[in-house]
Amino acid sequence: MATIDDLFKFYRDECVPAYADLVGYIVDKPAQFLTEIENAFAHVAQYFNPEVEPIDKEANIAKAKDHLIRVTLDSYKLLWSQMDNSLTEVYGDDFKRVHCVNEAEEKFVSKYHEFKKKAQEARELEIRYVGVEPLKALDSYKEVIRLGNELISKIDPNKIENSKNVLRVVSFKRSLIELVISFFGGALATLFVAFFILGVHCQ
Amino acid sequence: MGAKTVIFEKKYGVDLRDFRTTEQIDEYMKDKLGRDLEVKRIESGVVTHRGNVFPLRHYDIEKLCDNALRCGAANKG
Repeated sequence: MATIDDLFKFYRDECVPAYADLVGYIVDKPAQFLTEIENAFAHVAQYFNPEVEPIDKEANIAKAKDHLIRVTLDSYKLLWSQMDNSLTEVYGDDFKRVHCVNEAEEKFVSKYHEFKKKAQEARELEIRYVGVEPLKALDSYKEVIRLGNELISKIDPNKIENSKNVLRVVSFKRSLIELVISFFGGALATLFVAFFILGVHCQ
Repeated sequence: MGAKTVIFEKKYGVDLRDFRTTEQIDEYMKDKLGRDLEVKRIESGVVTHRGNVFPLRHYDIEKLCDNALRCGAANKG
């Protein structure tokens, strides 16, 4: 049975680091975290309520800890999903994958696949032990985050910014070429009509 | 054994032992960014929306109270 000391030890040892990792990455405050902390606080308040029976107090501590466990796992999952968005954006773009990553493309691709595979494994572990041993997946999620962070550190933000300009220039040149081709195409078609069709009629 | 972060300490060059609460993390980030952290709902398929399915609303409570008091005073006058 969890005690109030266990609860706050868990808060210090797991919750605060998970929160720091998430907030340090997204540089904003996740609403999901506030909801769970609010729920946990409601149970802690019941623990200190003198009108509540001792057995119910213990149940409230267990419930409060469940909320903290959930929010810890959710913090890493949210962090994973944010990293996944950034990585998929680069992985899915041929130009960025080749020119904006400070690592050989093959290596980046292989690590990206590993990142996805490990996330899948962590998720399966979490689902398998849900309600029984929810923290079983915690280390797996941390490992995924470590790998994701390693991959993100290889992406060069300056090159990403430059790539936007390069793509703009390429797009402009393409439009210009298409315009020139369609102009000459039209002129050729007009000449063709003039020489062959009108020429035949004149004869 | 002290708690460890996966990326926070390395990224910001700090030691988590200097932080005891989430509020201290917020304060540190506020100093670093030069602005308050904004509460945001992060959309993700891997986290279920427990407890709160309503959209977030931002209130400046001080401003709301001051405005209401000003209107009250004006009506009285």
